[in-house]
Amino acid sequence: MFRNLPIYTLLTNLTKATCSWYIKVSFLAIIAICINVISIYFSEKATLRVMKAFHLSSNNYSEWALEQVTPRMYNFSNYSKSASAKEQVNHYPTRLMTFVNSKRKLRDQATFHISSEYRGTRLETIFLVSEKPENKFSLFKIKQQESYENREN
Amino acid sequence: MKIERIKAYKSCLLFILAAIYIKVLFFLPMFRANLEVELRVSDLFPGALSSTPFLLIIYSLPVLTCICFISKKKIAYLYSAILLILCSLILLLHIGTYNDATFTTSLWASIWLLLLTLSPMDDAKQKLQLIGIGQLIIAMTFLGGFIGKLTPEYWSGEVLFNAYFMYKNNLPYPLIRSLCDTETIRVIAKYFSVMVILTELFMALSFLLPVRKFVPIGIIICSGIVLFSHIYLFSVMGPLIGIIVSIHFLNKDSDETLKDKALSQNLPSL
Repeated sequence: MFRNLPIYTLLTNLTKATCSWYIKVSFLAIIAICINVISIYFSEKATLRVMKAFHLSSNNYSEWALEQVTPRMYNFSNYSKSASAKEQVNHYPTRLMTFVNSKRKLRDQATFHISSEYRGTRLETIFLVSEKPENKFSLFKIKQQESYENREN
Repeated sequence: MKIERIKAYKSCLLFILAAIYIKVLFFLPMFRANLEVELRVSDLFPGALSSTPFLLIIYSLPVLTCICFISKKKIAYLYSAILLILCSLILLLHIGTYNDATFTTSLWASIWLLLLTLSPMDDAKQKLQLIGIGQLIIAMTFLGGFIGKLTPEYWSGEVLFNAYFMYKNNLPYPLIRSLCDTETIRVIAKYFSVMVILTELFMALSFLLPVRKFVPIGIIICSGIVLFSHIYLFSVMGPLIGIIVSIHFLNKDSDETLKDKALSQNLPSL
């Protein structure tokens, strides 16, 4: 039965000349991304790397960009906290900064707090909200705190 | 290109374009607000990738790929796939649109379009290899969702209780709020959350399904996710549905090729 599946044909032909290099490269890219996805379950370091990408605070832009091509729909438990309320955000917690209404709300406060939690690993980031110079709305990371609980794998 | 390959390409392209532009009325006020007040986050984003005029240009460029609906030239299909890959990638990396998973799925569906244009399909095996890659892209996307939810906050239903059941204004959530008390909603959210996790696990393993089962099940699940969330979630699921529909056309073609071969082998020589 397994022999009739496309995945069987793909795997058994990968090393043959009839398999084009486009297919080989795509297969390897998908496997690399799947390993990257699964790594957050086992490694706190990997979890924090992804959380930092969610908080727009990766070490540099290329590191952040590499995370962006990995599908991570509705990962982690994310919260954003403003002066008025604490809100569960089901995807990037930083998206509240780019949404029209929430951005207007943000303009009236001095700081913006976000947090993400996954299997006992927690990252909390505080941004300073600044509107100087005029018409430039800037958020600067002023504090970031990591905390862990032991994982039972 | 063969008619089945063209059908596969066009159907996937249609879903990608519908996914990108279904949220146009949502995106435009956002872009307008970004034009009024420029947004910067700790100087992470390079110049062009925080520029709103540049974002507007990139967001409108995929319209050009509509040429594929009238042209039969392979070059049009090739350039359209490359254009879609570049636009999706830039939108995924831009400060104005990075948070939208639309461009993650449209990027991968556009890569699939490129493979569909480039890959030789001289025999059924080569077609099956391509279908295998398409199934793996779908599986990878759901694996990303599944792994990220393996945390107590999802198993208990807390995340969906707060983000969906107590907040969403589209059906069935207001109805549930009006009919049930908070504790009952918590229980519903818990079971719903577990169902979401198990559905994602099932889709992450869907490459183990034969194509004839994979296609209808994949379309039903992706459409169901849109129905139970918000019509705007079509922007994320649309490109995935596009890949599944094009797999259907390719598989139909493979089946017919195999049937033709079997028939010709059984025919007495003239």
